[in-house]
Amino acid sequence: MSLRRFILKRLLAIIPILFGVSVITFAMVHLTPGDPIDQMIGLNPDITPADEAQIRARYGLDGPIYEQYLTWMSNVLVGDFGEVVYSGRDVSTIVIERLPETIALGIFGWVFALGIAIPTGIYAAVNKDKFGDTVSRFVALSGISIPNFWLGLMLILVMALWLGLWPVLAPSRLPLYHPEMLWFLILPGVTIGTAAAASIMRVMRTAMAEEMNKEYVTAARAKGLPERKVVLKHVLRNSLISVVTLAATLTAGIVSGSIVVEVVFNWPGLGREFINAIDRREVNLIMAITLFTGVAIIIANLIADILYAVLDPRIRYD
Amino acid sequence: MALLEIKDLTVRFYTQEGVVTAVDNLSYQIKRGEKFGVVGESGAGKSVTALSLMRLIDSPGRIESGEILFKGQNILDMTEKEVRSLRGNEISMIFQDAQTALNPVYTVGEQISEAMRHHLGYSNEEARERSIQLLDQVGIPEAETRYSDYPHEFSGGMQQRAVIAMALSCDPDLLLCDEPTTALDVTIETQILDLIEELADEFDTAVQLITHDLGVVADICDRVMVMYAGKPVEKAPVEELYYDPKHPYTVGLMSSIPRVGDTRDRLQTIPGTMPDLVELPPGCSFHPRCPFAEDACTTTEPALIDIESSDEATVDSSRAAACLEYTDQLQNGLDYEVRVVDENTGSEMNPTQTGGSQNV
Amino acid sequence: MSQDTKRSSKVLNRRRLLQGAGAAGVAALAGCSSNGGNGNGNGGNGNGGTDQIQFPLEIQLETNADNDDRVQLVELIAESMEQTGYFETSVETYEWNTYSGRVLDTEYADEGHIPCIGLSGTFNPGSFCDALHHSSNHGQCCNLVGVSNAELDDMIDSARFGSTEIAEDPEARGAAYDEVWRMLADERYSSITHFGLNTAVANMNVHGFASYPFDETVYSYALHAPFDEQVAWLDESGASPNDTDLSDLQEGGTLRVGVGANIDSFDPPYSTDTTSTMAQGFIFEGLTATDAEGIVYPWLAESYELVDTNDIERVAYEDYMITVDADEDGVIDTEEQVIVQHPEDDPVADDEVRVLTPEEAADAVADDVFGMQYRYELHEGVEFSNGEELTAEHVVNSLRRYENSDLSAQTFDSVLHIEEVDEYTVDIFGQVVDAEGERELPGFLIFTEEQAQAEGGEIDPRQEFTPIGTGPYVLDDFSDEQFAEYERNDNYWLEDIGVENLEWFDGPSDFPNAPVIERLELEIIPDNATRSAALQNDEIDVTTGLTSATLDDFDESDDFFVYSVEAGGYDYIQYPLDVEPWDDKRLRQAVNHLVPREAIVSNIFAGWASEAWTDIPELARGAGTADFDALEDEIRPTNEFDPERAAELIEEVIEDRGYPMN
Repeated sequence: MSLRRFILKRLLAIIPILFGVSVITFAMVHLTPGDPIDQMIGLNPDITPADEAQIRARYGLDGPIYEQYLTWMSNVLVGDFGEVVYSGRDVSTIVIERLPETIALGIFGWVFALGIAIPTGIYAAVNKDKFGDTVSRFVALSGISIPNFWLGLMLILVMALWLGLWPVLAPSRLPLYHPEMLWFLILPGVTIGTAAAASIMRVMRTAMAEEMNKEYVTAARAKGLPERKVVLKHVLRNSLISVVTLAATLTAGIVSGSIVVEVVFNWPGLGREFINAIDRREVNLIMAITLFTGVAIIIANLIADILYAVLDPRIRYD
Repeated sequence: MALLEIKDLTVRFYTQEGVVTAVDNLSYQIKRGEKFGVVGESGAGKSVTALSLMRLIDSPGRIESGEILFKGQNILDMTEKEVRSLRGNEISMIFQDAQTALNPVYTVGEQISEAMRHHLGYSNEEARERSIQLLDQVGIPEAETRYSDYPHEFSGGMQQRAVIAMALSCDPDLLLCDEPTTALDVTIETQILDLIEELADEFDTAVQLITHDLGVVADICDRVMVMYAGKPVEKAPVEELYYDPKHPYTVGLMSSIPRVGDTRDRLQTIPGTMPDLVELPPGCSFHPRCPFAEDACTTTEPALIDIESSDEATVDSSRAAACLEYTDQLQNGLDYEVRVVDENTGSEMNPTQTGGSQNV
Repeated sequence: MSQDTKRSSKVLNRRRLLQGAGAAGVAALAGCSSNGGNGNGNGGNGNGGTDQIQFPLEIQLETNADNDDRVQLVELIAESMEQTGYFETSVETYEWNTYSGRVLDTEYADEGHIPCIGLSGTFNPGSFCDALHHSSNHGQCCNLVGVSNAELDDMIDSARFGSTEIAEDPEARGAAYDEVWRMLADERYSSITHFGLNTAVANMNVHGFASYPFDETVYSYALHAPFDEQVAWLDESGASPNDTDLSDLQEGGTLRVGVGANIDSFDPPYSTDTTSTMAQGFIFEGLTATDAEGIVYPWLAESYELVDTNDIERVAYEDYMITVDADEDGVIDTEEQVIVQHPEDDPVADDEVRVLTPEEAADAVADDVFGMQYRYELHEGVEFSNGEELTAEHVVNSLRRYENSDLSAQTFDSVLHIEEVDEYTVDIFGQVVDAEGERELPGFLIFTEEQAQAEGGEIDPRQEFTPIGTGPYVLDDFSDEQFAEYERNDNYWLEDIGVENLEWFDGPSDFPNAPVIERLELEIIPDNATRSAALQNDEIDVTTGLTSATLDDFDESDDFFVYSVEAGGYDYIQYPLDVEPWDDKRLRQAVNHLVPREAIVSNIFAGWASEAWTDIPELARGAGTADFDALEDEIRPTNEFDPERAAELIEEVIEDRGYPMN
């Protein structure tokens, strides 16, 4: 089938996947003890259980699970993702408002991850088994092993407090595209991208090392092409295919990593919003963010598939 | 002056199993426009020779000693940059498996144009036009559309033609063909060989044809060198090699060529296999498989002897063989007879009656 | 589970061991599903039912897992009990929601465990005894062990309700509470371990700062509180706050505050979280204001007085009540605010209940059926920041806006009715005679006409509806999850009237009439560590809610200053008095002597807390006792850490009741 049809089919597959995700998430949130009303009231001696029941009824939080789910679903189908009990705000508004920051952080994470991983992987492959390679692999292992939040806190400590090169707080009065804001995003981007970068770098190195042994590389050298061109033009493109697979999978890692990173760096994205929503058992918000994340990951994988077709002419959908 | 002169080339590989002497004291020359065949079984060191020519030998291999004189200049003394300007430009290579020699993610046309842009400074347009011309010349129909096709969209034979186009793109003086038809079926094989011959003549390109197939050599080569275990064992002009082989190994090779119309059940082969290059047998490397081996063969390694002068062969020797027979060290001598028979008439042929099909 | 393995090897009750092993197995499975948290469910179950009670006594202490300090506190107490050799303790923790569901259930009292929980008390001394011990609070917050002492209930009630003398005379009220504290010390149903401190950390540019017991009001108070002659200002010259006083006051500047949560709502009746309340406090004001000791001052009201009282019970409104339906969850079917529900009706059990709504309440008041009547005279000429003049009508509409809101339960459990007397006079009626009425009845914020009419949650700058109040600041800009900015209100009423013209003011005549700091910038920084880092990096000037360890670091530093004041937060444990042998108060008193209050404060809170030698912290002493020193002298000895005394008491119990001791 043509590329267009392929994409279409994959986009349609999103629907059943999201449906499944929504059912599971909804069930899990409701099975955990507590609901938004509990959080709101806390331990207030003045509120009787009858009062509580009254408040719950007002917010539609009574009733069996499947009923609540169907209500939620029927609202979603007309575009209404409900409200947050705590503040009465519209869920879709909240998600949309937090999107730019979330996307900005995600992009930085990716840029950093790929920006570090690919050159390093190439370097390690070209200098295979030499000192440079060993150092890269050590760095990669550390990158995968170091926990996000620790790295984030360390970066703040060293870069912001000791060296004064970065502020602790984001310059929130400035728009996202302002250079100072982008400068700030480097630290959280590094934190989020590190684990991904490490994995990608290893795959890049292996893939390239493998490709370098292939005959077309000898043939390219036999044509008298400079080594740089042989590596960067001929070998790289063949190696990128395995990297693309991994990179798409790591989207999920970047998304979940953002939760911790956003709290540590005080970045007002969906990750932080998600943590609060879970704390307060805000079902509607949890559902909306989960679905959004699901869509993001699915699309990342779709982009990976499309990239295969672009990178490797042998995989064309016709 | 010869176009290419190899003198006492030795190439060793330092592997975990031991030191492999892939090429041992090899000397030969190729003149301009000449078609030179290098024959031997797998592992004889033929490909290594070709790669050494382009200094494409990588660790664990090392060119230990010798000289490779191309147009009078020793390639082994050149800088990396100088060598690179030779590769693809003055010396080109065609590989055994065209499919793997082509990069699957770039178009065939691009891969042909690459060398021209790099060596000859062509612009994209110029290179493209020339590539299309080349594709046409190598016999690929609809060359213009095929320019933008990818390797996997070509058949095996077409791929090899494309590789040939790639090799000839900068009009090289020497074309190294490493088993160019081994991966192709017989009908295509002939076409490719004809093509190589045709283009070589047209462009006045010298050809070093590496193969294990004596039939291929007979077709287009002017002179031949037979290699065994990294050493040259016989050198001769092609006719003389076939009508009057001087080395037992060459004889064995010839008798093992399958013949059309052969009614025997099994192919005749030389018993035994090529020795492990790490542990060569003492004396003559071939002696374990040689029907004429004597005691002397196990102790003394025969030098390559010029048949006419009975002295050690030089680069200019046209007829040489490495057997103790030619230093009169054999007692029983070599006892074989070679007859060349025309397949159609069944009558014996003489060296002067070449032409038509030559079946040995 | 921190199961102690120091088990006496002399006589192991084999039956108990097997039963325990089996129970542990079953509990392990059951615990996984029903208890969340860590470990198994009912490990050290008191006495296992019909088994003989013997010492060492097995006892399990429980608390919620997410509060590290509390968990450590409980472990310290357990350890202390264990060391006497009379107890075999275990500690169990649960996820918060699971825990609160577990301990608030009435069945919990029969389990025989010692739960630990924390509450936030207020200026009301009752908040330190009522919730824990009143029998009506069993099954809801926070009488976890089923204390049911009718005499105690009465004492607690009458220290607050039913008497005009109690309502008007703090000393009389204090004496009433003293009786309560004495009885509690004797019965020892619970042990309060410590009172928290409310701390704020500021850099050296912030001068004149003082902390306040409640986070919701910390900054409003610090910025300008004429009743305590409190005003804060910014001085960037490098002078230390320790070296300056009011005479060095400077006007202007921007105070950058780090707050620990997002401001969810600018609509007071529809917000319950601390940060929102704080953010609203700069903009909105009420009829009265409270100082750091809980004394009430007239604010938007020029003066007020308790006009009349009737010592009635809520049944007195019976004749005015209407009947409405109630479903099986207890949800009452009416659109109107339920002001009083007939005490003898139960909305869960009955299908119908009798209730009083605002309409009927008005009728009752008209017939002189009410508990208290407070009359408030407003200042004349007070304007909202948009120029609207404040009148009695605004007050009435503002209180009515709390009907059926998120705060309706807390508001309408004391308020009966509000009415306009004339343009600048308002009467607020209380349901019964209540000593807390003076504080509670006027405890709502005042809105403009438009805002009072708005839908719940509509006052929201994110929805283009800027909150407008009478307060000293106006909201300039708000970016959700990021920051809020305030500017001084140029139209502030107190600047026109002048602080020195306030009846009760007895400070210097040049005391500022409004906060002197020009701008406030609230930065929203949920993470403690990040907030602390921001303060260190001079990106904010002041913040609250940092951990004890960080407080120590800031305190030791010359560039920062920690301001602390005893607050109302406290943790307590309760003894399962319905389960033998905890029904013997001597045992409870004994364990109370084993609660290492000093160790708790110094080890767990690094000194940033106050030992609870009595049941009330500083802020409740105004009305909570007639003479604090005398009270402390009397009660403190019962709370001292005294393992010897504890052993004595336990031995007495063992002997009197004949429990075997291994």
